[in-house]
Amino acid sequence: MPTTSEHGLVFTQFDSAALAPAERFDGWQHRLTDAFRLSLPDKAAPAQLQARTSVWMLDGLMFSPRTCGAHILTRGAHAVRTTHLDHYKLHVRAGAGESRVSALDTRRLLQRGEFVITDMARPERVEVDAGATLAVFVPRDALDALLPHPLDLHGVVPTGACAGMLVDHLVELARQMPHMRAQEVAGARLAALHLLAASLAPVAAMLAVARPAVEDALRRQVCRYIESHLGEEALDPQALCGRFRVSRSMLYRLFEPLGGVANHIRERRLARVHTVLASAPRGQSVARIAENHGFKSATHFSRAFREQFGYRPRDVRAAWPVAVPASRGTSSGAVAGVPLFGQWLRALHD
Amino acid sequence: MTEASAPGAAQPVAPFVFDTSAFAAAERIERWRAQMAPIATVDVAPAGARPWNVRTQAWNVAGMLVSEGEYGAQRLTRTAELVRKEPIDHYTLHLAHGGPGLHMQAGDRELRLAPGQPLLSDLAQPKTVSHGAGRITSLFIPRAALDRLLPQQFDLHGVVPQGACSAMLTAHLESMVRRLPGMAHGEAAGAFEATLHLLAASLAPSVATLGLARPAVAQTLMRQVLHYIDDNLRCADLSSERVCAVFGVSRATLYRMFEPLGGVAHHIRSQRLERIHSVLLTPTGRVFLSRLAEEHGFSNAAHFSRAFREHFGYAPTEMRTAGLSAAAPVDLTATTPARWWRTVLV
Repeated sequence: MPTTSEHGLVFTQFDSAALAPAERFDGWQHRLTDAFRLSLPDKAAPAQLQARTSVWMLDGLMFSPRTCGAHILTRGAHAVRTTHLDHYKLHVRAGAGESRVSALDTRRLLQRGEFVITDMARPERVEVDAGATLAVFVPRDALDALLPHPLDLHGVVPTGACAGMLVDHLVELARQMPHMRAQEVAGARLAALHLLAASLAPVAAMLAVARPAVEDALRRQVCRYIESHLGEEALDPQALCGRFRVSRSMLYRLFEPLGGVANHIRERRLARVHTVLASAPRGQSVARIAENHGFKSATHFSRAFREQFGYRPRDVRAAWPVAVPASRGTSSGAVAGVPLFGQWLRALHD
Repeated sequence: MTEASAPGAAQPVAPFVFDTSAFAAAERIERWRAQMAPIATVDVAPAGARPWNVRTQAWNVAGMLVSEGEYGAQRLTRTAELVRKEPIDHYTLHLAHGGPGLHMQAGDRELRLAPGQPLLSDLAQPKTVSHGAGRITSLFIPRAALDRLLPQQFDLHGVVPQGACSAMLTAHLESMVRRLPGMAHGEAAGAFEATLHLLAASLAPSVATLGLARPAVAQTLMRQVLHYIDDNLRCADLSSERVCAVFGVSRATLYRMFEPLGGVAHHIRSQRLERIHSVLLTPTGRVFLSRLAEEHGFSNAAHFSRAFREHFGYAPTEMRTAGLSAAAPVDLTATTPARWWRTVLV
């Protein structure tokens, strides 16, 4: 549940110790939303899982200090397509212990005081040893604005003076957040962004320029357009070609990493329907909501929904807010209240 | 000009070193006084238990001077006369790490600060600072760089940063001085910006509660001219004639004002060279050297190359290709102090 700090900043906390042992794993997975799949190392018992996390918002930058037992967070290709977050993520090893990161074909070992940058538009997997870590979600534009040109940052581990200064800064930020006033937030956030950009300066020359930067920018534009027109029946590849003046083959190439443009539109529509179902008044018919999002055939909609989420549309209403996708092999968790973390993640990409 | 090797974006920022321990006890204080002459006069209490000494390092972090050192107990006085004489337009931030902390008399503000608490003052106003023997970190921050992050002009002479961001600033400074020996030129601008944002955020509670919104020190003509030059380095037609016309001063007056800086034309040229140098140190994509020089008023390429080499001791084309050799410290104990301060602070 959201809490308010001494000076009026809103944050959320999660403590597995507040849940019954049988509910701990599902409770944390629920809080992580579809953006990450939680798993445990071999031999670890879900009931023994310990996780204490908090989440703070700093003007669009999301800051999450964590003290957890050993765990694995996976962001697979499916999650990349369906949760659609245009952010960089920093995973910081604040205390003792190691993290092992796989980002595409890169594998990196992180030790105390180090961090890795990953691009949330691409799959990743992080094996986290027990201990204190920090996660920071940085809107892509906020960092890109401070870089000389777009860089491919997926799996990069900066090691220079400013990388160390950034880790020190974030560790102190975790300590100071409870005492921070609203008017100080911007300064702390900008200091972090500048240190992050500076930490990339020594490696900038060695990093690949981001995949054709122009194409990336165009795809982001098209994605934003899709997000704001999901309810329009006329939203299809042809309309997008006309709107953005690109050829069909160009549009297809742009959306290849997201599983094709038509597929992407359908996934985003289903995700939106899911959100609406969870919050709409009970009286509103599922068929009507689906129709409002471009699904003319109720059977087709039900099948597509089930394929994407692993349960039926009506299950959302029955179980929300405790529904956890059945495909994850879990029963429903028992966390009360709407998961603010998930709301924020969703709010972030709009 | 001595032989110097050209720095690149990936090369470390070279420290300046000042160490009096090589001198006889009687000479140490005189050396330090000479070094500090453009900033303050130095008074030292009669010899205590420990031999008096100064051992300090300083780094030029993208235009902000960061110094860190062990100092004997001293009192530094910046008199009104010195303020008039030396056109240094910076804020200073002091942070004592141990001992009894700092005492400052800044106009009608008298402050006593515990170790770990930073204190801001203005070099354009007189002050007296005293402290016991111990480790101190000092920053010299160009006025315009901090002012642009504040909602309006404040009188920041003798102001104590507050709130959560003050604690963050202290931790940041500790972290920075620990990591500066490994900092690359390309990182310096980001470290500077981060410092400014934390400082500006930590001033917000003070300026709101202390009613500091009285106008800062009246800008002297000299400061206005220096700002004007700094803002117009990229205008090809910036010249002493134009400065005279803009400020309505005679050539003779302008020349007299700039005499301590080696003349107005000399000042404009060296500021332009410094600006080009810092652009070349930023790890951007490709920079066209000839265009960069032309934008800064050097229409003749051969003339630009010669001027650059004379100023820095290496050619501009060497900067991009410079290897990763270690940054050699520059020993300040052997240089002319007044000239050094001007190269780093003006």
